Amino acid sequence: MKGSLTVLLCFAAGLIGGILYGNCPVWVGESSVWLLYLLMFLVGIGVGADPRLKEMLRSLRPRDLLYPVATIAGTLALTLIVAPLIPGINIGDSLAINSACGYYSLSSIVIPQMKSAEIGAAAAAELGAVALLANVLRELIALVGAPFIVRRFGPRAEISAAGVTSVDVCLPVIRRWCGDRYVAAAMLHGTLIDLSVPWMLAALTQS
Amino acid sequence: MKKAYICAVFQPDHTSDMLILILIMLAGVIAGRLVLRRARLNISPIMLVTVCLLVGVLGFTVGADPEIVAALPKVGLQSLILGVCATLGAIGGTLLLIKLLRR
Repeated sequence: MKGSLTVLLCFAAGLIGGILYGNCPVWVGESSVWLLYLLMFLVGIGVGADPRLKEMLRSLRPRDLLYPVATIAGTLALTLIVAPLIPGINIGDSLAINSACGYYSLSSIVIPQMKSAEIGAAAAAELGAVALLANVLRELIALVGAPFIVRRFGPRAEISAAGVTSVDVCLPVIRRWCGDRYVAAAMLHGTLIDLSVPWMLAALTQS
Repeated sequence: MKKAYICAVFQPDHTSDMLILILIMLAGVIAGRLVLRRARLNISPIMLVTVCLLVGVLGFTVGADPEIVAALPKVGLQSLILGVCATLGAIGGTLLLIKLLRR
């Protein structure tokens, strides 16, 4: 819980810092590459140092291929139900945004590019902002809410909530709160969704 | 066309990026297996710091984009509903699958 609050506070601190600074130096964005590399290396160390490593690898089952499908289907199904109630955004755009499953960097670029000819540059840019913020929020919920989600809904639910980020940023919290036996499944889940998102974005942003 | 919103934070968007991340993780697995099992180093605090820094950078890049900040009052509610809806929908889909697989 303390870790979750710390993560949330760091996001808030970064957000306020960015607002006050007013622009983003290139090295700040580039540092995220090295931080992600470091994170993946540390996750690997944790997994490798675990005496149950062989068990973890053997824990993968064919049914693990179904979970990414459930994540995507569940995301889109609830979006389809709720989207008509959201003011100022249509169902198609809502589906496109949520089909990213946490892939904020790709969706915030692809969606405006695909939609600008249809709705104009300004409206497309706004959609890009929604895509960025909605998918960042999903990642934050999975990061900060992990203890609650696992306790209330189980470990698979946390992996699902993380979406595409179950393979990278959320992997440490998945390992911490779900257990080592879910690490391989989480990586498979995130990787398969990662490979699916470009196709879904292309399909859902077609006019 | 101008890219209106550019999130400078890295996310793997090519197969090669994913492969690099997986290779780095595998390198960590080897290091953990060969070296740290004996050293018994607790890396959890280092991981927490790394996640915090990564999330802090993400927050910074969002806050540093004046167009996003200016659009927040308008797009904030839409983003909140969509983000929560996506998360809950994903959880619901998985819980349904678990129920179906248990039959």
